[in-house]
Amino acid sequence: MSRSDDRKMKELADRLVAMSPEPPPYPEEVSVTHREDSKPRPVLVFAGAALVVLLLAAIPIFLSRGGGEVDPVASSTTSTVPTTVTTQPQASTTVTTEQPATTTTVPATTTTTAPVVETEEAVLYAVQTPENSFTGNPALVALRGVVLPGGETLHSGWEGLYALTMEGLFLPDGFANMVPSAVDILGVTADDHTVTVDMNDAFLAGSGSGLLGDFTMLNQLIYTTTVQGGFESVLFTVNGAPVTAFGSEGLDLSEPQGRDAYLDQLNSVNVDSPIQGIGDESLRVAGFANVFEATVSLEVVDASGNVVQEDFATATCGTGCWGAYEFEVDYSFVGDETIRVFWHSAEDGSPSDVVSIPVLWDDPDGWDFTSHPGTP
Amino acid sequence: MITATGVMDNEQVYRSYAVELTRYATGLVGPFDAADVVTDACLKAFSARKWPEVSNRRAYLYRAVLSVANDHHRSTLSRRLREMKTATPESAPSQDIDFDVLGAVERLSVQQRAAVLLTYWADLPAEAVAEQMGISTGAVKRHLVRARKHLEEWLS
Repeated sequence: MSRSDDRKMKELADRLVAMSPEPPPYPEEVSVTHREDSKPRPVLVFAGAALVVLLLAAIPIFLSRGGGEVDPVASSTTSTVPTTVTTQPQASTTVTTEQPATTTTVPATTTTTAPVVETEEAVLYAVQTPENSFTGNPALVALRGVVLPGGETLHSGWEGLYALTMEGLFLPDGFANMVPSAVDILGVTADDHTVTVDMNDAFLAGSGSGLLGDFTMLNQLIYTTTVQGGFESVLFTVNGAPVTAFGSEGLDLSEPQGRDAYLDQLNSVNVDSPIQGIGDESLRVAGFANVFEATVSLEVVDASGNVVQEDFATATCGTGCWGAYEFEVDYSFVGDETIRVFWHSAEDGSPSDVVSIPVLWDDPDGWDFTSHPGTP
Repeated sequence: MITATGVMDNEQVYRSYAVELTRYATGLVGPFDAADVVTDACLKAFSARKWPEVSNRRAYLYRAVLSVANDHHRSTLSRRLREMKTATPESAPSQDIDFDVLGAVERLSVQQRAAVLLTYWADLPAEAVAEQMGISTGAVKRHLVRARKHLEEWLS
């Protein structure tokens, strides 16, 4: 790189920073924020198609009371009539976890237009059986997608967790969910660091597939619950009571469980960042691994099965300890590629503990977790 | 503001670093959302359990800003730029907007922007940039190479 390029890069950085606005005022109220998106997103609650129909039917009445200030609904514009349904706040704890007012916005369209079914974004951790596994332990992979609203206020803000307990959860090929559909969430509350998830009795039986399945189920629930808001641990209760015997071996869950509680029951490579992007962006692939010499490898495989790009990264720790790794993949993705993340065996150099994730490109919604045939 | 033990309280920490954090955030997400990113990052940092034990709070806050910026969708800057170009003078933000620079930077990922800023604005060596970003030195170099590739037109 030439010195002239260096000068231009410095000029660019300086000019960029020169646009800085005044710093914001000191944030007086330290509250727990939800991380999924920096922009506030209204939480939409539908009590089902019947409620939608009722609300749509109520629109003409609402409009007629508005004194004609709103354009007639016959218009094909996208103007909306905000119909607010404020729900009871959750049983609160000591924190100021902000629960936005639950709002249902009904499009003011003509009756010839089918009502738009709103969906909610969810990030959840699914399970994959890795290829060429050393330990036989499953891998955790974060997936971002949409679910239909839960219909109950207690799910607001915890869509990923809700999705894991949803009957008919659809996951892409190669991924599984170890949380039995009989498990239901009765309530979720949070303090500064810990989320308390109250479950029904079915939770006590665990995954129904042995101790490793129970660990995997807990890992899925813990990682999904703590994916947002900077929470550090999860306390599970059943009908409000501590859980002292969970699953096939009667695990004691009476203390909060952090993300590191069952790490060693996971694959040596796990993926934390949903594998999706848009336009000509590069793709960020991040996660945590415990691999030989902390060296994590990545391949981009095209639809024909050809490896079209390779890279490696050094995790922050390795060979006996867990570390974070991160890739930034510059490739012209079209959306039919697969990302493979693994480590090379010290014995023969073969790819080990391989996690394969299909790439979603130019599809901002992500996976449709509710598109499974027969989903209610 | 300074406690009896000489440790800065959160407000003092914030006032010490708010200006530079806002500049850093401006480089990462643009001037329109920088303040929101700084506020979110500080709230996250101050409420973290390990915050009271953090020895290098400045570095921690820089990492928190990068973490929040990472979650900030890159296309938001492009959208803001489009809005700015069509905005009426009354609704435009008060600060001067350098469209030339923002137009170039919008092609970079947040990680690439961070590598460029820490290298060329903060004048840090690659090893320090790597530590600050929590990635390897090789990754920093890759980010810089890719950033320059995306900025080829601007640099020429």
